[in-house]
Amino acid sequence: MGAKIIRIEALEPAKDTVSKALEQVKRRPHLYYADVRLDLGEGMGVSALQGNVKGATEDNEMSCGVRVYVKKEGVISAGFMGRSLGTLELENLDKVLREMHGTAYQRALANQRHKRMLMKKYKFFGKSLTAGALAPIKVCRDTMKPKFQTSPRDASLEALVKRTEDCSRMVQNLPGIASNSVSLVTGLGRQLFASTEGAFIDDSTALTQAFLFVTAKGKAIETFYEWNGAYAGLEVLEGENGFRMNFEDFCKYIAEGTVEVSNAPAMKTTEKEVTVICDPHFNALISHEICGHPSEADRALKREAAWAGRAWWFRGMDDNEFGKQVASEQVSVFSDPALEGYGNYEYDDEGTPAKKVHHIKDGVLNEFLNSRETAAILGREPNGGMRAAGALQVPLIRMNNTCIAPGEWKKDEIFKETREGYYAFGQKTPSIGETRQNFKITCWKLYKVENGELTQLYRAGGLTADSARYLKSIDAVADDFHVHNIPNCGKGTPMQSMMVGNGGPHTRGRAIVTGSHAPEAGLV
Amino acid sequence: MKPLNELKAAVEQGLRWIEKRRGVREAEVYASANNLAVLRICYATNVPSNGLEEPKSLDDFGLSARVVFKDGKVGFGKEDSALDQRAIKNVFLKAERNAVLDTDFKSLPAPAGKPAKNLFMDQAIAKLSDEKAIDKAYDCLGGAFDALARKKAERNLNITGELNFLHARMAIASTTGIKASDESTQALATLTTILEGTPDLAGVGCDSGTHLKDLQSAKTGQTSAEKALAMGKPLSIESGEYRAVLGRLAVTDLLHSRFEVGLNAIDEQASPFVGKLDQQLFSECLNIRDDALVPKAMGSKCVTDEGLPAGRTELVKDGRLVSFLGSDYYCKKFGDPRFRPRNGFRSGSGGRSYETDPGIHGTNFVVETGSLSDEELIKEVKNGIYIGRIWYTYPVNGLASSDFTTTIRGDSYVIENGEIKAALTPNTCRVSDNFERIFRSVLGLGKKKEVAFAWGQEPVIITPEIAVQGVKVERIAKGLY
Repeated sequence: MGAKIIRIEALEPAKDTVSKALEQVKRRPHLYYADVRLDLGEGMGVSALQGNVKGATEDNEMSCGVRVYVKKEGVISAGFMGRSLGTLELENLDKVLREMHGTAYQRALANQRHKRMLMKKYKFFGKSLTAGALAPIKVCRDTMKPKFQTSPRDASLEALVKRTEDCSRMVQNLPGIASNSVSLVTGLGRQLFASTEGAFIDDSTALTQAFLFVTAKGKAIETFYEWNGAYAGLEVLEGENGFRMNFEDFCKYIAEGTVEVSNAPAMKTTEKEVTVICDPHFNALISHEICGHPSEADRALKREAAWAGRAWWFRGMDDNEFGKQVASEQVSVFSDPALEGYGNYEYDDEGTPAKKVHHIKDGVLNEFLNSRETAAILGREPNGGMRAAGALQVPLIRMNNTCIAPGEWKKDEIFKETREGYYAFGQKTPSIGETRQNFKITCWKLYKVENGELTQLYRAGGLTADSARYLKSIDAVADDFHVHNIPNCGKGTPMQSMMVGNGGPHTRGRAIVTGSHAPEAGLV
Repeated sequence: MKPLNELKAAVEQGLRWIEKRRGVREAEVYASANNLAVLRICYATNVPSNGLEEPKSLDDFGLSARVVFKDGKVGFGKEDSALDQRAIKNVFLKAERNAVLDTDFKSLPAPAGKPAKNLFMDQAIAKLSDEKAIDKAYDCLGGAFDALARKKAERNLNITGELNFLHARMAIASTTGIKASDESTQALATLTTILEGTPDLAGVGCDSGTHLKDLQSAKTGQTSAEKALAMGKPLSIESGEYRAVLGRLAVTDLLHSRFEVGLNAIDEQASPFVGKLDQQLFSECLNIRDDALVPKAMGSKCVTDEGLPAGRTELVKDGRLVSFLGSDYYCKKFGDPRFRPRNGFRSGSGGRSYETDPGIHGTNFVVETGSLSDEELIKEVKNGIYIGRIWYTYPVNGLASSDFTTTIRGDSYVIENGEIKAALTPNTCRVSDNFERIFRSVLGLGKKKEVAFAWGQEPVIITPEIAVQGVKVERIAKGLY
């Protein structure tokens, strides 16, 4: 008999238990709000290195997180507890939830007590300590089923092992490849969300994703990695993905492209700003780093300053760039959870129906992604921005599918009209200033553009600019549009790695094009 | 939290059961339990804030096994939140189903000496109540308030940071004779105070250790505020190459970003140091080791997650790269006697993770001291900058390159004629340079090393301040700051 894997259907009896637990929590004195998330994931994963399988797994994971808010003497404070769960605990879920709620509740009370003491002790500093109210939302009860053509359950671990190993071997045998590691995951996940307001969301998703890390040794050593996945089933491995390639072709494409780059000369940093055209894949990092992150309300409200930084376009409630030009009129940026991509969902982890949010409209700063608390502070409607990387983690405001909106130019026109410049193709690695005021982002391939044609490929290429200056320099936005899935956006303590979608169309702007950092030292 | 005795009993019982299963050649059973308490501080004067975000904790415990079968296949299985016979059976069945033929796998680790005495476990942290943890977090914020009130700061304030308390336990037993357990605690406090304006003035305070009594949370807050207040009237600098003193947090970020010395990274050719063993890569004065046994350092542990004694690995000696970090698997794969399996750890988001088989992780990277005081380092630079805190330090040109880029965030100064002239305006400089280039030209090392750490990163770094010949700086955000 094989090992018992708990399937997502096992959460069905838990629905009643979760609702009843919240009824009990509501009776606690000074309770303002509470919610619980319970998630269960089942799936398979395989990894291979240099043509040799390294590991395989078929398993499940379950966890739970409980938030409690209390309100006493006009002050609202929160407490949280998260933990992983096993089979036995699912069978005793009422006891587990009771204990977790109790702990989170006591934490909220202790927090409230200390907050009040601080406000009394430091009258001047205490003035800005907030009541912490949550903006009201439409309380919803809904069920979402996973979307797939071929269920992840139809995979056999043995077949995935063979396929992964064969693919890694194929890549390893490509000329110019020094090393590669390949992994595949496929599975189903289900989360139950319930709140003391009566919300109940039962959300199931499928996920299938491939990952390749490759080291190419041409005239120089070049490393690169890329993911290719979707909230879908095994069809992702057969081409139903953002790259429109099956698993093997995707790995071959990335590997061969990286070999090509490894044989290219290293870029030298330009002395001045030059014209740059960016492809949708590169723009995934532009939309992510300098548009998306500073549009997260918790960051803008300075709650993330120590770790993830602030947002240069919001200095205070009366000192910010709302309603002002922060980009060229051609640039609009939005977050849309209805789009297909890793940011696709209907309700966030506070049960708020998720809405499309326009961050920048025709170059003007408009609105942030928010939570119920930050919506109340900013005087906006909650728009469903809160997500956690697992039920045992606290939800934070995260991007969903955050993209530069398509424009009216044709991509070919942009190239045709560019006499001299560079083309950043594919994304590599970002580095951003603390308030997102400046960026340096490297690309997979950098091409010189001369009279509309790509003439020379470079490696170690990228763009750097002050963000506002760059966004205002964009003078062409194409009508092509592509969402690229990024599974590892980091935020929070403990660190949470979140799946988001980013992208946009081709754009043209001006920036310094960067190259290798120490060519004079021979370290190229 | 599950007691250590229960973890020990579970792995021994598990091993006795699994080793008798048909087809088993070798087996290793591992159990862990972790409790991580996190208290995030967040305060601002011109936007509403909570003071302390929701006090929270992450708890987990479970069992896992690596099983080597007679056909040569190796399998891994785990079970969450259970240590009983049902869990043991499930762990084995999963390992059996998941088993694959990894031709690089040689054997499970064998015993290799006794671990050092455990100095890294504090009952006060293990038994820390929520009330006391919350109290310490508010103390930290209060420390900043006290400093600011004394100096009557008139700018808008933004004060953010956190306190973390971690308690981790593990036990392991194997058919090769491994039988080990370990328990450790960590505490850290960090606070960033920003006096907002054009420009901002920013200061950071940090403290950490393995024992609660060593954590000075109020002082941490006070330090961050005092540093911000001391910035005075900052200056900006233009693009160029500057002689610099790298503060401890800057050294920490640079080591985290580019000092990739695990054998796994070497194997994947995902390190700038592939093929560079025994080469003189850095200034002769530079010596770096990984040391798991540093008293009071958060990364310290007695036993690895392969059940082997944790210890010390010299990495850079007199500027020469002399070794890499290894686990048992990778040391056997490479077969080089210079590599010792002292760094096979199962690192999770909170402590030691039964959910994974061992990877390679640093514990405490220790940069050995030199002979210069902090003031003498400044004098040595003569004209240049002191870089205190950097931000978003990433290997933008790939993992095989020593190139990195970062921005100078705060706690930084302009040096003129061998003295601190003024603070450096935060967020106005980007550094795009190369790790090997910078550390080839060390002007001097400080004589006092201290513990530093970075958000979401390991290992802990214990380092003096370091003066270097040059860092390449680009002026950014003109007109904004």
